[in-house]
Amino acid sequence: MKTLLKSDNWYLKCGAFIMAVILLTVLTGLFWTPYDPNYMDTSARLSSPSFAHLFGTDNFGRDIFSRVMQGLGTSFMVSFCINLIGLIIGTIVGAAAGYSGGLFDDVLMRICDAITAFPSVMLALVIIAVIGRGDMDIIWILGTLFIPSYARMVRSEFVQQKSCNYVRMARLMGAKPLRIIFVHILPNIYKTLLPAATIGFNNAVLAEASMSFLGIGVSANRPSLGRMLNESQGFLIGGAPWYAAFVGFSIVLLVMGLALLGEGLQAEQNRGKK
Amino acid sequence: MPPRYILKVDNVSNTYYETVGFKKVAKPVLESVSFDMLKGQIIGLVGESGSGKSTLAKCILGVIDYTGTITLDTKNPQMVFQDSTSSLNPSMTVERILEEPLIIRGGMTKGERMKKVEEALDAVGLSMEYAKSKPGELSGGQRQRVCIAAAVISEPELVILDEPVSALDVTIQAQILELLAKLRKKYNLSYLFISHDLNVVYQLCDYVLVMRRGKVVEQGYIDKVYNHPEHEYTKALLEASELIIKSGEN
Repeated sequence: MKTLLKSDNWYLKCGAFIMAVILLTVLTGLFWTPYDPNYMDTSARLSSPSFAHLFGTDNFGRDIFSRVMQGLGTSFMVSFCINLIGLIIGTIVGAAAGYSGGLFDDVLMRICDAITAFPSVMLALVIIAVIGRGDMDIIWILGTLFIPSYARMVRSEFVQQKSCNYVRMARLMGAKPLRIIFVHILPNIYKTLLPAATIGFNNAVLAEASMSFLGIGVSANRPSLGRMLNESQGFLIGGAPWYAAFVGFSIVLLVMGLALLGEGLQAEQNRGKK
Repeated sequence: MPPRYILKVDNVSNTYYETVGFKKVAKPVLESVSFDMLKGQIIGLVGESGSGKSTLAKCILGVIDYTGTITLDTKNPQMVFQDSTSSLNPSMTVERILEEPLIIRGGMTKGERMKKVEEALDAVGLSMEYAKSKPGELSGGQRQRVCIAAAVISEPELVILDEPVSALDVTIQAQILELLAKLRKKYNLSYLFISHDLNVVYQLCDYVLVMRRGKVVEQGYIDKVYNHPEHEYTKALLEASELIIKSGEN
């Protein structure tokens, strides 16, 4: 913590600060919100920001600040799960491809290329249209679409590490492939994966928000930033411009915090290399 | 007791295929290399860059394909590389690096392993305070000591040293060479010592192979080759290296 405060890496500092604030908001939102986010106060519809309603209320009289608190939580949770799926399966695929090489590697990577060739939100839309959707299906679908980017990164690291002398030495000592992968190579690549995971998180937030905006995100009883942005459209001119502004602002803040954090971690890592 | 050959290399060749345009061009890297190595012997492998020294080492370790026969009368030969930085896993502590070969071999408790690690560190002249350091925190000479410790901890009979001292400055070089000689006595090791530095080879080895463009142009006991070189190339190498051999040793 002390080194973070003293560091001249402003990306990392600002990113960490923004994310700390957001995380605090999300954690608070889990236990306490100023109002019940789903309580409709019909007497206070579309009221402007005030001390009673920090971000104002929406067309049903729900407190926007409370909904944003929980919406951020939803974004966080969904993006986290998406990334976890992408990271775990992507790492396994990338490690297998990079370590074995040859035809197996080619086949796996071409499959990844095929998946990445489609815009992920578009592909997710198609899949949902075909298989229908449940509450958390979006996590599985987007998670799967996040596999290729992780797989490709892990693969390139593996290809690089495989020719390192310490991996050769391990092989000379008679280490089995799984041992080489988990003990000798994986611990060395988390430094590359960490900034990448932050950027992946960022993409997942945006993807989830876009999906919800289009009305196919998480189920309707959960506050979601994307859907709120969609609902706010009708009141942009005349009614309640702050609705869209505050929701949009919180999405931007979350994305910016993650981007800065990712950028900062990357810079920190490059510095370590020198 | 008849002498025991730990390594027999017979007529070994290796070809590297380079793609030029659409054609594959064969480039011979090793051409019918033959030599025998006695247990406990230190064989020096000298020659200019690209003469196939490291390729020969890789063939012996079975990392690359070759034609001919290589008979290894020992299990798990170990290797020490020139570049100590990439030889040590940057995310492991020195202790963990040395413990790894023992874990892979199995059959030892944690306590026994740690005791061996301590012994190995002591044998290469590093104190226990380095046990918890990462390779990045050590100097070049210290790193090379760790590499040597990692090579000898699994009690091999043959260690292949690929330019182990070339990246080190002269005083450290001397220390490492001294250490290698000491370890050889202690563990009864055989070394295949690859180097382009004839002085270093003279200090350490009993037998020498001179390689040029994939062929062994001359081989023999060190005093004979250094004092009465037969091949033109060996003569040229010896002249170029400004060898400091005391005249009394002739």
